[in-house]
Amino acid sequence: MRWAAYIRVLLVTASGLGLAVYGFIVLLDPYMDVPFSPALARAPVSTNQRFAYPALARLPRFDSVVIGTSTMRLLDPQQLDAKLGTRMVNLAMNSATPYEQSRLLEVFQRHHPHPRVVVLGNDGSWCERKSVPANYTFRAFPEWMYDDGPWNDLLYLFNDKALEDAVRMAELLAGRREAKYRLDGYRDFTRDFGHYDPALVRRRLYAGRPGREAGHITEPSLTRPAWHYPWLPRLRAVLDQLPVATRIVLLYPPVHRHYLENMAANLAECKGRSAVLLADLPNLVTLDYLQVSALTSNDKNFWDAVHTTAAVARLLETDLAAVVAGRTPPSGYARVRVGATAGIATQPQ
Amino acid sequence: MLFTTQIFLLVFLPLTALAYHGASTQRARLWVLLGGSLVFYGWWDLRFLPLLLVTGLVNWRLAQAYRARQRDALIWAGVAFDLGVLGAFKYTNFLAASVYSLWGQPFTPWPIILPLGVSFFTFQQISYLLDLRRGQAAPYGWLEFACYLCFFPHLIAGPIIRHHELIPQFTNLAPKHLDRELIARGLLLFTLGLVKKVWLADQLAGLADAGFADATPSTVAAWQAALAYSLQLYFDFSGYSDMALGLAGMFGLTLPVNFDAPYRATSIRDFWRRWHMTLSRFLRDYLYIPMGGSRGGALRTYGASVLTMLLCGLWHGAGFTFIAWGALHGVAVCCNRWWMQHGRPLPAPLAWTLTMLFVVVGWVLFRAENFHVAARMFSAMAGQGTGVRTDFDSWPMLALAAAVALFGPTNLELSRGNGLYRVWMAVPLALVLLVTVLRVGQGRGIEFIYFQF
Repeated sequence: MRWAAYIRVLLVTASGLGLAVYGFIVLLDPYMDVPFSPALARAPVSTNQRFAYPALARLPRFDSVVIGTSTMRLLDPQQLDAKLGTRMVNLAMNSATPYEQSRLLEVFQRHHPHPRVVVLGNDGSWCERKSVPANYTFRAFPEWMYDDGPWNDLLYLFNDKALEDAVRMAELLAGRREAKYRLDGYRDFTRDFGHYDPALVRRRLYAGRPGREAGHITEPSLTRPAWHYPWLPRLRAVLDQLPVATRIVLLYPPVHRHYLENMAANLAECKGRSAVLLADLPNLVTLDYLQVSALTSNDKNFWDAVHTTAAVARLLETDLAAVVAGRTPPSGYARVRVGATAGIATQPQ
Repeated sequence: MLFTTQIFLLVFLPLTALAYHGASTQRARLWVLLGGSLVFYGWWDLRFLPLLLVTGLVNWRLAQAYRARQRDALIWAGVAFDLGVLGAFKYTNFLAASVYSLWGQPFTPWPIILPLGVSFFTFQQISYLLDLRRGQAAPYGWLEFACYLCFFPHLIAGPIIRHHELIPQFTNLAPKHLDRELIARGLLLFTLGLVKKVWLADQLAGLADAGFADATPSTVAAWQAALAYSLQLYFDFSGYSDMALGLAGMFGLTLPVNFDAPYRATSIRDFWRRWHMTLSRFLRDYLYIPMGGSRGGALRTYGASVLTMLLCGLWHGAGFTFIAWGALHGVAVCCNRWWMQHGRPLPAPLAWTLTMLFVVVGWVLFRAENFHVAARMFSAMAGQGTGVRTDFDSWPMLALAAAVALFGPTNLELSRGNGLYRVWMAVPLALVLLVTVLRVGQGRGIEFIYFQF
């Protein structure tokens, strides 16, 4: 046996190919975070927004941001910019935990110390009552991308996921692939759902159970003092970092009435606690669609229990623009609360 | 530091290997090994380095003293010290929880961190002291003894090495000598072990975890989870052992074999001759035989078997499920022995089926967080499953893993044969290594299961 030759070929091949792969990844820079990569017309290509969005959060072109989960993703920054005169980026991520949302907002804020408008969605994700809620989902969350040192990112790029995304970036640059998200973070993901089929949507919404008349209360209340909301202090801490001049909109996005049945009591209490906790923030306005209304009762406004149609998103954008400008939202579906906590129920209803 | 991290694969291992093979004297090589091993261990938690070194120093000093005075008390003091360390870190919370439970009091576990590998390195030191008392151990210098204890390939999850298997090899570490054959075989075995861990064990982990976490598993899902865990555990631990043996080879050293296709066993005793062989050997030599073994009549033999397996269960984890698992295996070993003495040998396919059925059912107890989860799984496996979830997509993965475990050549056979050492074969092997290192780079690998023991 030619042992020496075998060892040499093995080590030289592995290290040579390894260096070539690493060079390819760094050159293509799929997450747009390599400090010395050549300037190319890159756009987000990673399917995992947790990898794609930190670079967008750092782009100096923006002055306002949307944060939240997939329920906020249909808010189109271009529409909002037209109505508000902002330069908005939508950084809402699928199933993002409050921890992940706040980490991304921190990145945005470090690079935009004086944002004009911050829209933070709470579809119930901040209302979790587990004593120790999980920071992450099953999706990878690259903590290394969320600090301000780009050089340490180089230590984490030698992997098959980055290689796959580098290939996607190469295809994008060659004009053979679309960007996964626009540079302002937006993507109309309902396009992927295909044709709107009301019968299918109803099956999704009711999952075999008949729709019931809603009698549940989702107005803010303070009737269950024993309940603990571990994320709310973090919410306050995150918002405390924003300057007073920043207009903050805490938006409870609509979910289908049927889905509300399971979460009504929790939501009511969580909204009440949030209202008390955030009452002294002068720059905060709450825009609440997460309740029984004609909007949340109409099956045709939804794709599934928590995802609305693009038409509803346009309605929300118009309402958002109105409250930021200090006007009443025209749709009539939203409850608007500014600061005061008076009127919150403190007795069980 | 884990074998399945890039800091190990791309930085620690190349630097240590370069320093080792570049060292100009035998002692310099040993210092490189010791230094590298301490960095390897300290990388996980620097606070436990003194524990490793102090236990080593205490045992070595006691051994020195025993050689000078020949007093058994010194040996027993050392064994008590080692068991004390193991007990303090591994069993304190378990004992306290049991006592609190007896008194009907709630118990909040004390914040005791289990040092990685403590079950392994304390056993190795116990074996050295006991061998010394039996006159089966030579005197060793501190550097040699420390290298034996701390040698990073086996430090945190075995194999459990006896002093005479490793320390004498240190004298052969001639400066500048390169045993290229051993290095090449080590490289291949390490790569195959890495592949086993990353592409088989870790792929099965999700299926096993989901099944055990399911509050209402269906019968099929419960069996899937049990089989997935059985295969995950085998590929995880034997993959680690392959990597340990391969790493040792890269440093011109050989370690004892730890697995020999255990899922091909046709009896439970055969299984324990093939599974975690170095632990079985330790338990046989230091527990079973001293308790009388098979020389003291049937009752004593059965008693020794059950007690040995009970302690084997307890060694794996501080919990009643582990003790029950050990007891179950103890009883099975006794049944097996009785059958072989009084019954007729079963046809091999039937013997294999019964053995595997028992092993897989046993692993459910081993994996379950508590008896409630185990009972839920057993109930579902017995046909009382209430759920409907069945992950058919994972069946090809299960089938592949089972085929490798049952029919494929073992990594050891592949690395010891000559079929994969043609020079051109190094190219696909390099590709496999690279692809696996790239997967490892995602940082989403699953810790070796045996680290928790």
